[in-house]
Amino acid sequence: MASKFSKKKSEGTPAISTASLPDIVFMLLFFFMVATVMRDTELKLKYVLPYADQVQKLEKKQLVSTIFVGKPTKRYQKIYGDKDKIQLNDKFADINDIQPWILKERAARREELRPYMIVSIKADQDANMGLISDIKEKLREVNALKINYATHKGDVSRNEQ
Amino acid sequence: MARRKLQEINAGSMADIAFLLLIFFLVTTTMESMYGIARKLPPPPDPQQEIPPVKERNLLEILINRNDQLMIEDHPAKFSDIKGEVIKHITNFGKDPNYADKPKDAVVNITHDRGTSYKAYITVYNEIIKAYNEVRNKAAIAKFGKPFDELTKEQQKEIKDMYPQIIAEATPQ
Repeated sequence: MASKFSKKKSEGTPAISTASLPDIVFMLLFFFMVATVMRDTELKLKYVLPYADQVQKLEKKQLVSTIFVGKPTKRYQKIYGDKDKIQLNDKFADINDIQPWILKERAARREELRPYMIVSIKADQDANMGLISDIKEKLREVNALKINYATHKGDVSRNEQ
Repeated sequence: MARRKLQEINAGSMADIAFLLLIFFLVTTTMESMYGIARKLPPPPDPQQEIPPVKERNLLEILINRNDQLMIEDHPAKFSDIKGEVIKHITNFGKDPNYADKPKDAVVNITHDRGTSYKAYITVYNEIIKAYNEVRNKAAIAKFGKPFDELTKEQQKEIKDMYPQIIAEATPQ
C-alpha cells in the first residue's frame, strides 16, 4: 500500500507544454487578418488629422472616395516642392483633376449606389483653407455634394491653437 | 511486415510560421480612423435663382482670419465662445434684437480667409454643430422625454425642423 503513494523521483522542473502556443498565435493572426485593410494607395504626402468630437462614423467603405491634402513626404519634396498638394488615388493631382476623377469614381460604382457616394477629405490640420474651399467648389460643380471632413475623435482643445 | 508506428508530425515549427504571418499582418495593419464631420454642400449656384435676403439680425457672423483669430459679430472672441453665442442665437425667439427672430430663420455664417488653417475651421464647425446638437437634445427631452439619439426617425425629423441647421459659408476672396 505504501508503495502506491511513494513519490516518484523528481526529474527537475517539468517542461512547460508549448503545444497550445500555435493556437494562441493563430487566434491573434486571424484577428489581424480580419482587421487589416490593405492600403490600395501609396501615400505620397503626410497629413495629421485635426480633432473633433461631433463626428459620425463612416460606415459603407465602398461608397467613400478619398481626397488627401497635405505636404509631400521628404522623398517627393524635391520634385513637387513643400507646399500643400492634393493626392487622388496614388498620384499627385492638380485642382482641375478633381472633376474628371469624381466622374471616374462615380462611373466605377453601381448605378443604384451613385447618389450615396461620399467624398472624404483627409486634410492636414495645417493645410490652408484656400485649397480646401477650391476643392469644395469643384465638388459642388460636379454635384458631389456629400462630403466628410475626416478627423480624429477627440476634444477640439487638442488642436492646439 | 512489421507494422511501423505512425510517425507524428512535429508541430513545433507551426508556431514559428504563425508568428511570421502574425508579424506581417501586424506591420501592414492600419487601423484607419473612419470618423469625420459629415456635411452636405449646397448645390451649384443657379444664375437665375435669386438669393433670398437675410435680415441682419438673423445672421450670426463668424469670421476667422489668416492667423486663426476669431470674430463673432465684429467682436474678437475665443473658440470656446462660439457654442454659447450660437445657442443664444438660435434659441432667442426674438427677445434680443441682435439675435435671431425664430430658430427657423437663424443662419450661422462662417467667413474664412484663404490662409486660415484647416484645424481652426474644423474647430469652429465642430463648435457650431455642438451648439445645434445641444439645443436639439434639449428640445427632444422637453418634447419626447428622450435624448435626440434615441428618438425615432420621424421624431428626429420633427426636432430637426424645429431647429434647422443653416450654416452658410462665404467663399473666400
